[in-house]
Amino acid sequence: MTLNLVLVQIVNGLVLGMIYVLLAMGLSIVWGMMNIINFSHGLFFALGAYLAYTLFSVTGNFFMGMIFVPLGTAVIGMFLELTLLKRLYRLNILYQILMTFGLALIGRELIIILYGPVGKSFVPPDILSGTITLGTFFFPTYRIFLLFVSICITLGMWLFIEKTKYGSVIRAGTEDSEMVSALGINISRVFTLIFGLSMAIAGLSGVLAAPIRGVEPMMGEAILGICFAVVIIGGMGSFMGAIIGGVIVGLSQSLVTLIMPSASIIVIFLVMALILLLKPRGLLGIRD
Amino acid sequence: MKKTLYSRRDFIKTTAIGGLGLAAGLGAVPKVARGAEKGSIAFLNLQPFSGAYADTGLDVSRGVRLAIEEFGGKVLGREIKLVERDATNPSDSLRRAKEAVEKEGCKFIQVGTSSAVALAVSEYGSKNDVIVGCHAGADSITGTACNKFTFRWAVPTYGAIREVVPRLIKELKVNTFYTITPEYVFGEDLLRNTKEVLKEQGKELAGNSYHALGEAEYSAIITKAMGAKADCVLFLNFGGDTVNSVKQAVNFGLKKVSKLCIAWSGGQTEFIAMGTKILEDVWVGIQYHHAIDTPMNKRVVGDYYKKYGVMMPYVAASGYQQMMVMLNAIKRAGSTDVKKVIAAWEDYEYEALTGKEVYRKCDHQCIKPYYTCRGKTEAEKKAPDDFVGIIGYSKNFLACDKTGCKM
Repeated sequence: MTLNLVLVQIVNGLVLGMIYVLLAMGLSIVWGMMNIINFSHGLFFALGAYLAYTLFSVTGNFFMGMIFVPLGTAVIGMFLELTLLKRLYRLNILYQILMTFGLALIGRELIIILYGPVGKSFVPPDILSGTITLGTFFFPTYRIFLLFVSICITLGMWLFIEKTKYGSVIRAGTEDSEMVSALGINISRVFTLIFGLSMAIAGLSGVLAAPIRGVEPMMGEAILGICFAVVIIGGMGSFMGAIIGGVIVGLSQSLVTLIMPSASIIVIFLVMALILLLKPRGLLGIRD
Repeated sequence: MKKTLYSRRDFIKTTAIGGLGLAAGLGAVPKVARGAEKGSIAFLNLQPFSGAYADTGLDVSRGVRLAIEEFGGKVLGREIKLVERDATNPSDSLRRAKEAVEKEGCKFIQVGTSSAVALAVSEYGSKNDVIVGCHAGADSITGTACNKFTFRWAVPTYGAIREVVPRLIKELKVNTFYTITPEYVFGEDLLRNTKEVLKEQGKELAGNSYHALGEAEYSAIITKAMGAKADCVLFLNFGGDTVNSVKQAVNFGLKKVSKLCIAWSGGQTEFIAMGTKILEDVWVGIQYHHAIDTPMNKRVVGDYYKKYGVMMPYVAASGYQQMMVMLNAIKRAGSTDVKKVIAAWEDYEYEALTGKEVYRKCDHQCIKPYYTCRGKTEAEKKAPDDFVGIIGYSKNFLACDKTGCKM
């Protein structure tokens, strides 16, 4: 194993990790503020990929998908929040699980009905389809693009949460949503927007991941379990925790694959178990 | 620390419960028939209708249904009832097979492309006098684990590798290989056979990387394969694993370093999922191709296209052919008595999709060709679904006394 190979894998791990970060961010914010454990989060990842595939098939423009698909998934997300999830906030957690789990199953079946069970071919756009040379290895240009875009989105989200008025409401809401409501803020509207934002990022993750992970009906479920692990590692409800958790998982997976490729999934849960043993709230957990 | 509605422990418990729920939900598949009505003959089609290989389940089902339709929907004057169940792992498959046999009265089973599932159901069939038609590739199905009740249409990994690897060596002057292998019985069989052929031919295996079943991220494996600088990277996986690994290999520029070859492809279904850009100049080993030039194939491909609007993929052909052979064996036996059907099936030569075929008596393996194809470029394609061209084919099977099969 050469140093060059390890370096390439570190870049690979970062790319992988950033996909997890994007998904885990939304999952963590929704859980942190709305107390919803959203099992339909993976569905929006898949939905993003399928909408991008559809838009690309019609227009031939990948970048349009990066703009319009998140808007589409945000609108769908807000509609579901307003019509279904809103009714469950004060009910037992099991109702939320059943609802979001049910949505995930219905959504997946709708995808199969509309697109069929066979995966779709989706390659990176021509402008990003080449490779660059990293030492003695080639590395896909698209993966570098994905890394750059996801870092920009993460940075943008961090600035939004840390430096804007809305962000301060989210942070306060994550700590105590009842108190935020008592201060005269329309928490119901904030919830809807937060859910929409979370679904927009999930949809965008799907668009970005589609050219490298493929487009198939089960893709949301496959990645959702990993994202839950990322949230647990980073700590419940912590935005920064989701970022650190995602990068740790991506790098662990990538580097372990060099030594033992078949352990690439189990390593995620080993890391999770180890971190929980050392820090039972996760790395930056704010919940007891 | 403020107490909120849910604690971290609740979250972990909930995600675990939800995960189990999702997994359970994956098993929810359409049930075609609840049971054999009085006078009808029930056939169980046990396929993966969910998970990484869900597309193969649908395709086999389509092939089986077409066979039943072309057979007239009846055998021995009795209505054919098709019972379909999801089979993604050996334990679930065994449970569902047992239920179908005991509650639905199924004495004839078609089992999916997973070797582990096929081996488990085959063993069950042998202990319960149930005929099992297999679509999987592991050598042992008609080798050391063979039994009187199990028949297999697909060429086993032995024959697949003995067609593909020598042809790559001959046509492309390949000297070194790197293999990418899923860590389960099918992948291990392909790898073992590859090693044997390379040893026989005096060629080198530069390295091998294993991956888990259903893996989505292959970047590390591909980087290692690239570092090995082998003349050919041989993919020994199947279905969604093949699609993802080959796509990522091409995106990583592996084609610039090595020739790419899929030893055992799912055919048309995988080709559609990969697309021409990925597939061009990739070499592919397949059990069946819709362009095979036989009268029966031309007719059935036309019927399949008319019914489903797509070209018939390999697993659909496998489902069609094996169901047709099963129904004809029952017809020739003039009875659903399992022993009589087995006797009518063995050593009977028939006209098939690939030409003349026969299931030999010694191990119940169907003797048919295995094909090597090459991915066409956009300019070479004559139709949107014309992804590969056949380069050659051969029939390679262990002699009866070498299979290890004892009926």
